[in-house]
Amino acid sequence: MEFEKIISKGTGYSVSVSGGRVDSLRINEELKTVVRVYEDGKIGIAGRIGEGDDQALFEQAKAKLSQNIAYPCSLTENARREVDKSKTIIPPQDYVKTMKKLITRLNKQFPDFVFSNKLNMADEELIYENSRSTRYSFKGSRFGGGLIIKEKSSANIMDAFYGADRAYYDEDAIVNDIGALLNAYVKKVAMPEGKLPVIVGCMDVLQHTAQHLIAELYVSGSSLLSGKIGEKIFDERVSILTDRNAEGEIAPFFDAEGAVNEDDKFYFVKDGVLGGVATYKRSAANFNLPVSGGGYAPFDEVPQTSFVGLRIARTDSLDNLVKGKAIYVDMTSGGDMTPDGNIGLPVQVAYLYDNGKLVGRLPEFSIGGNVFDVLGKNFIGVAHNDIFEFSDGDVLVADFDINNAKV
Amino acid sequence: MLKFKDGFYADVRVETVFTTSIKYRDGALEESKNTTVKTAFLRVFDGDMWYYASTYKLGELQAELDKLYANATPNKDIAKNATVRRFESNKANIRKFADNCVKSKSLAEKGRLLTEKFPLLKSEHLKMFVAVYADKYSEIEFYSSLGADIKYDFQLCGVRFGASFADGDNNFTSSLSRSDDCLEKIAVGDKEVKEFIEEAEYFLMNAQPVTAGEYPVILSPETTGVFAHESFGHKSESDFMVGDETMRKEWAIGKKVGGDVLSIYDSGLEDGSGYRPFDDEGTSAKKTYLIKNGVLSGRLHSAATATDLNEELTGNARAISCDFEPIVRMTSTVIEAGSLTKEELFAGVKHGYFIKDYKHGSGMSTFTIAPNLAYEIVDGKIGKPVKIAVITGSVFETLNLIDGLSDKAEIISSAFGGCGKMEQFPLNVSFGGPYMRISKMSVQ
Repeated sequence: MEFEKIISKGTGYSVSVSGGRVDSLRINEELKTVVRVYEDGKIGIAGRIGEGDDQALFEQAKAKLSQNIAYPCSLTENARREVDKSKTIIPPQDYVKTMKKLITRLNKQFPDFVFSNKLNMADEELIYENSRSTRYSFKGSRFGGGLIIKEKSSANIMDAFYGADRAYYDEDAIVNDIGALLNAYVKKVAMPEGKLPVIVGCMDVLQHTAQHLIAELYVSGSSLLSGKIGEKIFDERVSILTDRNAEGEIAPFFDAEGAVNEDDKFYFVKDGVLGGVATYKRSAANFNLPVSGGGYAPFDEVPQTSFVGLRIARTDSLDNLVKGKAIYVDMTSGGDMTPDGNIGLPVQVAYLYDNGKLVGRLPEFSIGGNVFDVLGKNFIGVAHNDIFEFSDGDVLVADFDINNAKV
Repeated sequence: MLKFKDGFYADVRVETVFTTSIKYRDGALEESKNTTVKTAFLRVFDGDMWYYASTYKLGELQAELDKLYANATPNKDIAKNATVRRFESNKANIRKFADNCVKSKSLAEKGRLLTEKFPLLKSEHLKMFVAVYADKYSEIEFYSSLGADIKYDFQLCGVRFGASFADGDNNFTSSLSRSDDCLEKIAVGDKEVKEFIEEAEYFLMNAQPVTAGEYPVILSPETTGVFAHESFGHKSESDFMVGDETMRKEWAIGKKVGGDVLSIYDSGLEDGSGYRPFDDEGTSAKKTYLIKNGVLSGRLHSAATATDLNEELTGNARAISCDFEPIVRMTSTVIEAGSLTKEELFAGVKHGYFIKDYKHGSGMSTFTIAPNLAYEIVDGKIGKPVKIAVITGSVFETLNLIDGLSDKAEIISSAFGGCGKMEQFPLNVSFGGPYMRISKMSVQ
């Protein structure tokens, strides 16, 4: 009988900001242990929260083999790797004081706005071991969360949002970022006449495309991309991949099944050509496809597919991609894609971008376009978002249709 | 027995959650499990700051509580604090599901709700199906330094059949699901499964794209419910108003915000996925009208927000689990029925769209619903199926554009997914309403 053991540990510190005031501190402690056993093509899983007897957990997992859930046993052998990115971002005893200082500074610097929501700091550790002498471990620390920003004279529940997820803390950079956002927010500008390129978060488009990359859907023939492996589907500058070790990524290099990709990357689309789909060990075995490293297993569930570190590879700097003006989409809400690939994204907040800066707030509108055009003939490029310093992320630049623009 | 200290308010919530998950893909078993998890959430308030801890160390609750006390500052006047004075100190033991608990049903019995339908899940264009059963039985205990001593249970279960269809490059994915508070209520009939497959096939082969623009729209009861939740329910969560004079003036009780036909309420007393006899601060559930006959009538509160706005508690301080503190959330949010028959409602549309069901919704200043099955309406009759990515509208404007409601409301429960608010997702809620006509919405 083969086995895997996964231990996740962590401590989180979270302050709530309400009406421009830090009003609570929450401390979360986590310790979870999961054992998966494999025998005769079946899987058995048991999980435990907190300390306990590992042998008892193994026995529980063995008993679950009787559920007769077919699962291939494909364990990595004799591999060892340890990544420790943990560090003290803010000493826990100073966390509330530090966050109060930040919020006080924001209140003073931006008196026409109210800040609320959550600021979080966490230490995480994940250990994967199996019966074939493989042991992987990852430790990381992060600071982040998001601030809902509301103009005091507005009747909206939310006028802007500032979010970040970083491995360090920099108060000045956060205040400067929010300044860049709010200085543009207060200057209302009309929707420019004529077509401008649109700058939008890569995930706004990828989240609707990703499900069509899932192996089960692809193989069934009901994915938008079914049958297209080996075909050029997007512009040749488009590469879509997961990269667990990308700059700014705070994620384990292994997935929930201990799968590790070469250079921690897996390309779904390379140079515009569809090269692979998202798999975990079961779907990879069922369909004779390579493992994409997308295994995801919340607590004691059987693994399934997910995407960690999904991105479109950068093609250039934002300065080089956009010379002059563009529409910068800051916040979308609830967009979707029709079965034939037409994306609709209602834009809650957008700004006029001009030579590297946000210069004014645009009226509400929607953007739309077919995914094969957005990543095809209308694709301009992907760049790191250089507008902000602390808030990290990549942006897609492309031509979209602008719908329902209000003057 | 926990020892609460003088000079502080404190409460402790302990939740034992039993869940079942069964999943088949194309008839092959992919998941079958029961899990029981017991965790606790502790809160201490000193009149200035709240200190929270989430813990799995149930044998060390007193020590966890004492750690929170050590972070806080004693306040001899804590009993006079306006928020503390609002807390209810209920004593109750409500075991609504003890005699018909999903814990007592076997995995085999639950799995049969799925497997019995597999022979029906086939058609020329059906390429893949995923059948899922999920249930949850929670036993919640709540104790406070004011003497609250509450025990109650909650139960929810559901089945969902998701199917992907394709014809060449043309594809469509849809699902049939049913959720309720006991196993006996969630069985799906053979006829429903057959009709689900036939409609999805028809949609696949005949759905046409729409020209983006503004059109009259009729929402089904299910979609009306998600509209109520996304468009106005979130606006009614009063944590968005804390320390905000503009919001208070703009959303003053008594203000006309919609047509006379429109009444929306939220209540934790309705059976189903929004049932919650006490919130996570120990406040008993209440029925709260958010809008009554078009007039703003109330909003949803935790003790802190009720204090800030000087309004009454509503029983809406909720957390998705013992990992989180309670914040203001909805329970069961419903638009009340109107007076038109369904036929009269449709007869009022010369050219528009009918949204039969939806994939997801979201709401801020502009709300968004992503339809799944949608149809054109021509001269009051349902016409050809259409592919719509999203329908959107401004909350402020759309409430005044509701010009007709059918005469019967339905409340829809769901054991799959739930409401998300910032870091807390998914929360069990329900929503519903009648068929609802909106004279103009953006369709894309």
